[in-house]
Amino acid sequence: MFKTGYILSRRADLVWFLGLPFVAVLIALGFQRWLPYVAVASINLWITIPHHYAGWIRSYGMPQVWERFRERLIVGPFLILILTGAGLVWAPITLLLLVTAWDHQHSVMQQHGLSRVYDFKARAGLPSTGRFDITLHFVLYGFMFVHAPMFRFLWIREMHRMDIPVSAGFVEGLLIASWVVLIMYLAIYAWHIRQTISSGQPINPIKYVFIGASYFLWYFVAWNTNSILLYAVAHRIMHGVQYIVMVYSFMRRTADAPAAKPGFWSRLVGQGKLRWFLVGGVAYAFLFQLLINYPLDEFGFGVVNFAPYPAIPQFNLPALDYEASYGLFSQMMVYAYGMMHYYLDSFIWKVRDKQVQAGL
Amino acid sequence: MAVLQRYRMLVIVYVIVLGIGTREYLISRSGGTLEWISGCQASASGCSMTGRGTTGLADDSLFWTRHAKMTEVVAELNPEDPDTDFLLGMQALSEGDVEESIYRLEEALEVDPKHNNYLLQYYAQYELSRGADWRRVNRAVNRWRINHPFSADPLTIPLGAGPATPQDENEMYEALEAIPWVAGSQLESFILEDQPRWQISLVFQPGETVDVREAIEAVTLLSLPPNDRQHFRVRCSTLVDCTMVPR
Repeated sequence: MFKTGYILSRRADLVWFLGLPFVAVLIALGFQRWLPYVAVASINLWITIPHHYAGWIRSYGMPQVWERFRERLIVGPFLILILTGAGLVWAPITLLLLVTAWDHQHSVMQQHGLSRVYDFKARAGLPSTGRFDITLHFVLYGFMFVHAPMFRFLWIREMHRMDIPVSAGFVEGLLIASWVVLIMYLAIYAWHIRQTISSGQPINPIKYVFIGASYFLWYFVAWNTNSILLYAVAHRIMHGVQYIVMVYSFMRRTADAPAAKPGFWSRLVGQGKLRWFLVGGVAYAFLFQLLINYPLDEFGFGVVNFAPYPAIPQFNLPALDYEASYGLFSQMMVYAYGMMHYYLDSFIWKVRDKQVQAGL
Repeated sequence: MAVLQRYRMLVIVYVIVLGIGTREYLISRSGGTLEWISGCQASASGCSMTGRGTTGLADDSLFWTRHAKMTEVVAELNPEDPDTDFLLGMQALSEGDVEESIYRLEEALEVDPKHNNYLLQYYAQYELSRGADWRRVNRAVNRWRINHPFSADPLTIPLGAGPATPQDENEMYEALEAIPWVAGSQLESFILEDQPRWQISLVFQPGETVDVREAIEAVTLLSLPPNDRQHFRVRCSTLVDCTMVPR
């Protein structure tokens, strides 16, 4: 009846997929207790942005993926850029709602995808289990989205902003309806499990532990209304770290396959190369932050501040604001490159050098 | 059909955006109620109680009148949420009930919410404008700045009298610029009840602890005769108790 299977290994899954949600909640509770709100931006820089980088490597850095999806990888960005540009000009609230809604859908789909991997690894479930699972995810997540005070506040506000003034009575009706849907669907899902067992197919219990851990995190933080900080930190840790782990594991296993085509990705996997993959993620976040002209201090969790230009009253120098600091930083980069050029030329062009003479 | 199948995710996204976005576009262009965050909701300095910017206040009032229904619904469903108290506070303010407004903001602050920039900023502005004890003001301002150090929103300090000469103005700016936590300052004048008024608008340097008394010292410099300013400076033990001391 039960057949266990793991995404990576028993120990690795315990850390990254089954234990991480609980650890993420503890970290987020610590953040809420001891760190300022700006720490959310730090989590974004240390985890969320590098997880986008992992996605770039996986999609654009692997030749087999590029060859298979080339058209979509080229056309997709243009279509999304056009959509974003048009949204910013003509319908900014709609654009914001779309990004938010897609983010939620994407989060659900990641957990669904990982639970599918559990069934795949254990060869568990029926052919229809995937459809039952995805519905389970959307019912559980939807229930939370409708019920949890934190989300309820957001969607009521947005509906009013979109000139759809929902009443308290309507919302209460919706809450009752979502209870009915949840209970009915859980009964249907229980029936599906029974069908699976009676068909002689195994069930992977680890998949349900994984789903339980994921929803523990979401439900725990969503019912906390004191601060969005808790949700933002815990969710981003779980989503981002699990994605990065999954991408790296995928690349590492692909590298072992005889048909694997080398590319940028293959330089990042192998003995001792994990650190370069991670450094690449942080460097990407660093460049991203510079590109959007946001302060690098956001890396510092509100504890470390890099603002190096306070006022110096003795010299009658005022403190620099962020715009001026950024200008100074950009100029410093130009100067630093210039100094590298001066430094290199100070030793590579010695005419007395025999090797230089050979090239003259 | 194969193309549609390949791009089905983007097709769904485009259909949703076209549907909802067209509605948003039509309503916003016909002068309907759709609006981006503005006024009090966007910045506490936009609705400070120092009387600045009457247009902003009118817009805010309109905003909260339009959204009274939303506040009512949220208050019924999420009564314990600090954001609900914030909305109720802003609603009360738009109706001119300052006491109720502050009561609501203080209720919201009871649970130490860190995420609501507007709440923290507005409360800091309120404490500053009402001339609360300097420790309370510093606590409120630093709570806001620590949690949202990169917020470019200003706080404003009302001035008893404006600078009489350009030299006065320059000396005041110089004194403000010498304060480590001040990233910028701007003198603003306006008419309230047929009387000219002034206020100084301050933006902040991230990562610096704020002591508002330093800004009061800088602006109180104007009360010294110009010839004395080279030899004396102002020291404030509270926000109102300032004395002249030798440099």
